[in-house]
Amino acid sequence: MEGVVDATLRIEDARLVDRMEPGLDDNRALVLAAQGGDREAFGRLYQRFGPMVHGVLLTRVPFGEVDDLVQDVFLSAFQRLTTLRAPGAFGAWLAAIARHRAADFHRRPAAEQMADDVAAEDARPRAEALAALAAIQSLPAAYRETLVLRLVEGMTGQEIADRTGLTPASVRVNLHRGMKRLREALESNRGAR
Amino acid sequence: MSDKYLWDRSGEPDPDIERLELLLGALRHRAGALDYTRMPAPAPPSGLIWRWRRSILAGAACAAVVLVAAGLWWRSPKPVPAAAPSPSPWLVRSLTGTPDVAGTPLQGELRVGAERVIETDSASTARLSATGVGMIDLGPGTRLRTVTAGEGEYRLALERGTLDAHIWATPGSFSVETASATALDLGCSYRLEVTEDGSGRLHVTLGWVGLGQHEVESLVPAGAVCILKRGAGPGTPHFADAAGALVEALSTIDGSPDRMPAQALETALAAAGPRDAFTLWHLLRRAAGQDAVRLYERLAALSPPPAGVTRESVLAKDRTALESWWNTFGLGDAALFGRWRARAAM
Repeated sequence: MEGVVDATLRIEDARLVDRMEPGLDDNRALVLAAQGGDREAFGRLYQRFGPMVHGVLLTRVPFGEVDDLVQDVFLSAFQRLTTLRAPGAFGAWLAAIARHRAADFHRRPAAEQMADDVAAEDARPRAEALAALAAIQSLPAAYRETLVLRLVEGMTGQEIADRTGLTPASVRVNLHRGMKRLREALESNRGAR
Repeated sequence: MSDKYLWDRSGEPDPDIERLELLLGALRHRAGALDYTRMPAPAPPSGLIWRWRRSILAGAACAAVVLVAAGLWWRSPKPVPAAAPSPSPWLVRSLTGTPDVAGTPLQGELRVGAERVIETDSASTARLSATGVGMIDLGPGTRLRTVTAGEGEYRLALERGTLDAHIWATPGSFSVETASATALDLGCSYRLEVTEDGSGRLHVTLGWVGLGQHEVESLVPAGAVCILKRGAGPGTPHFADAAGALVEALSTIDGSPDRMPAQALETALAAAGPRDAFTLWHLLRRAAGQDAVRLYERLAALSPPPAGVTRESVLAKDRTALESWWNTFGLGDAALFGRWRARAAM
């Protein structure tokens, strides 16, 4: 009986927050609901944080692997969600899982990675886009994620800060310096051709 | 360089950044549904492992004693105990007006067993809920029956009216029977409507629903609808905002189960865009001969098959080839079909 009421409240809370502009408090409510097993709430977290996880992975693994790994990261997060003590830190926690998952990917046997790279070639949407992505991947780690979240995933600086747990000031600096380095890298690539 | 534009796209646009946004936007995340069927078996938290090991060692000593005792008991004749009926998981309450449960006006909240009918009139609505399963709201003018189900299964039958389901049970464990198809939850929220004559409409708002009747199966993703026709089973699913011409053509095609009307097929092929690939894919599975060839060609133009998936394998309706192609649509993993079939075979 109590469980039924709880479940009802969870899903109604999740619906309520979905009507509002997503903010930290809304995410916290969704995380709490998802910790109670509410898949609808977790589905909304997936919609909100999917681009951030996608961006974090995109700086580390081949493009053709990213979609599968995004699913892995969220399913892994769903399983471990009850271990997250601070629901407000969900974004930073999720980003850490994504970085670990990317590191695991590179620990796989070379033969498996080679097979995946072939698949990635097939999934190539546009050579030019991948060349630009490669230029971003060549930058220092601090700039890569921020630039991918801004230029690929289309997030604003504030959204990047909200989703990753970085301060807005850090995001601003990373964007400014990263963009400067990216222009130089692209210019150098053009000169080399 | 415009830092304002770089920060939030306000201020004067920076042409370099605009060009990069346009170029790199092609790599952006395409949110399909989260596929819970890929969830690995949970591992025990590491902090608990030692405690588990200690418990296992202590348990092993007890188990040895219990096994000897069990062996002696097993060899002796014994009466077969009657299976205790498990309590019904469904709790029903009125949201508005006075719904009827098993012919009695519902007062407050009531736990309902299997094979009970819940009915709302034009002025009443009700909510069914079950711990760990989900919540189902019944609209006005609805008649719903709770159905006997096996262990870990939850089944309802919608005879007429509307239900809005929000399910968080394990995908594949909750289903709703209708006169024209059975809707199997694959981790989702959806609205199911059934008219007096047993036809209906499914609209999925989150996750997936598998629809099946005899040999016909449709997999409906979030944002898509599927029309149910009594005697014909589930129709061809399409996005709720698909072009009107496509929807109309699908209605004609679904109404002719023996062969695809040429004009309607022509219209569907012309009206379908890249986002409608999953709709053409469903049609292709049901088509034969030249219709299948034409569907293959149009689908390949809209969403090319992945490497290794040949025209021959698709036209031969090779399941692996078709499901590999499905996986390129960004709508979730075709493993969902396996879960649907495994459940449908039960």
